[in-house]
Amino acid sequence: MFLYFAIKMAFRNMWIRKMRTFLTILAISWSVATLVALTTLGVGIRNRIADEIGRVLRSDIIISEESIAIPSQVTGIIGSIPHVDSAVGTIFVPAKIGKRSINIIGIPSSQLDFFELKMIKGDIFNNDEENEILLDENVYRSLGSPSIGSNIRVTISYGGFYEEATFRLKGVFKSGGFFLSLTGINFAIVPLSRLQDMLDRKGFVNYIFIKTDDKKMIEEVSHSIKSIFPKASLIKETDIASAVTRVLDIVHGMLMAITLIGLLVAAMGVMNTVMMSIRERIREIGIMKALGARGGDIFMIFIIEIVFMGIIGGLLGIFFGYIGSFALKDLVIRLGLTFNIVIEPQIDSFIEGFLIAIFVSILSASYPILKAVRIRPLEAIRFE
Amino acid sequence: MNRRVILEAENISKIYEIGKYVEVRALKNVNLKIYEGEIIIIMGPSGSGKSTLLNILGTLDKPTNGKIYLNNRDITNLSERELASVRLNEMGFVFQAYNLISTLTALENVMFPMVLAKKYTLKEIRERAAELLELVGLGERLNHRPIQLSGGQQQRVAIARALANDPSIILMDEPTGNVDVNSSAIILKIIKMLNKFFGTTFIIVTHNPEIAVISDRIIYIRDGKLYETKKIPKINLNRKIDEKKILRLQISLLKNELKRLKYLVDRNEIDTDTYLTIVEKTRLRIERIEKILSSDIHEK
Repeated sequence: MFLYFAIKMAFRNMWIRKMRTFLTILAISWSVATLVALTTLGVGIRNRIADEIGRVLRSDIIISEESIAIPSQVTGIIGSIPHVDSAVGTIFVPAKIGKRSINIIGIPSSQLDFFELKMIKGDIFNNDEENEILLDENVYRSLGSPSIGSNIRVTISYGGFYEEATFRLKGVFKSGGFFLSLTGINFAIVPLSRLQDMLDRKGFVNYIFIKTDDKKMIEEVSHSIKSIFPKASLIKETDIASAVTRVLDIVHGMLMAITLIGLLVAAMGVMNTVMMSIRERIREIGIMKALGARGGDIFMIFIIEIVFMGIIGGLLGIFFGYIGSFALKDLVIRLGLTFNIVIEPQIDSFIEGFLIAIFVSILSASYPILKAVRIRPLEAIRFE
Repeated sequence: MNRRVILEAENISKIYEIGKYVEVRALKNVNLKIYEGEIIIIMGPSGSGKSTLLNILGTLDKPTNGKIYLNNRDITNLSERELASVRLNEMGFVFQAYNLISTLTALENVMFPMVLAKKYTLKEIRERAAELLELVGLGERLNHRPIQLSGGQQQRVAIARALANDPSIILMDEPTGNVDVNSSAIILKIIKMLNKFFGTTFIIVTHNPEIAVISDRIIYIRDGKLYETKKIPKINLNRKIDEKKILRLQISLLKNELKRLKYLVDRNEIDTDTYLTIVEKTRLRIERIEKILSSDIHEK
């Protein structure tokens, strides 16, 4: 019965101080919204990136060497290791087209399908002896979208080499996904033998891309490679994924720091509201005590107000946070990361946000309320 | 006279420390006996210690030395929690002004102490609060908030609230301080009638000489010491309230009380001894009021 009365008083007070109530709820919901939005978007990005990595590399293990010194036969040996689905030996070197830095990759025409290129214009090459080149769409556009068949001048300056050659544009392929756009790496592809000729390294490669028939076998396969070629330096897909995840963890940590500041602001807002509310009503607290109200009764009247604001703020925060994660996604896309993040409601973050809203509200309100409750009735009545 | 002492101050001193070295002795070895059913007025210049005495008598403040007895029970050193219960059940307070809880309506203000006491159901509390407001002449203003009431009306709500838990003592600090003449007269009338028909003890701190008129005893306080004066001869007050109406209301209130007690004892919420004492007390009250009703009270 007293609870009913206390609830009534709390609501009446919130209604009388509409603006203050509104601002407090806003402060609470803002902090919850940041938490929910950042978590939701974060999970979306994380899932997406895990996806991308696998898709972009299209290989489970990469053997790389600084100089072009791996004999082509090695590719064949690796191809025969159990659980290796396919292995492609390539030359992977930095180059320039005009003033633009790119990476040029020499790939045998017969093994182009390993990289699952999506052609936008023209076609892939099928003759290893022709000076033909494939560009990714970013490079293609930066050159002013030349027509298929036009000449592209490529300069390779690598180690001691300095070579220039002219290639004929055969096709344009779609740029890699997020991971590549993020790092800003662009590619051009030419037949492997042409590149070997240019660099005078016939029969040698420096990158071998390997696909396994089962992702679970990556460890085992790399072990086998190590046992045959102890000096080979291997990059596993899982290594890259964990490196990216580490970066994402740091980003997530920073986002959480922002959220924490939001929470702090909300807590101070709540504390301020409670302090103002108590200061205004200190005489009333004295009167209530004189009438025989105990500390607990008075605590109840004030805390109900705050719990209610916490609940409303929490719910609004979840709602706005979820809506806001869509807005954030748009922002991310507008910033140039053109990839599709899937926004899914993260129930965990909803519950987390809601509980934090209520917990923070109660915690920050308790101190001023307890302080007020301890005032002797006489001091409170005399308070002007 | 063989009257029962309801509240007693024994050798009370109150020393306020201002800063480290300055002391103010607000009360000096005060002894005071307050008898059941009297109206006692405490008068004195500002700063004489009269409010301090009232607050100590009302358990809102603790004396530096001395003891306070309520119904012969030492209540000087009770915990804050126990004191809250004493105030809730035994005492009613009316302060000078801004006495009400601003977020609650007149009716809810009167309901508040009863809700705290948890003796009645909510419906009973509401009915009783409405009756009490009717008693102080505010039957039509139940749902007004304090800001919508005049100072005098607010004070009357405060009086109704002080009556809520049927206290044996009501303490008032300048009840007519911020009130217009008309309301002041009504408040005096109410005090007088409550005293007459309920047998409620009043302790009133005031500057207002009109209140002195209705009192049984006046205590002057000067420089922390008490001086008692003889009773002042009474003069007639203009009658603003229909006494018979209030008396009839009073009877219905008491009869409701009897019904409620029966209900409580049936449900074993109070023991039979308490039940019988309260029933006896209430029955005597009804008898007294009926006697007054049958004679014409407006006559003399």
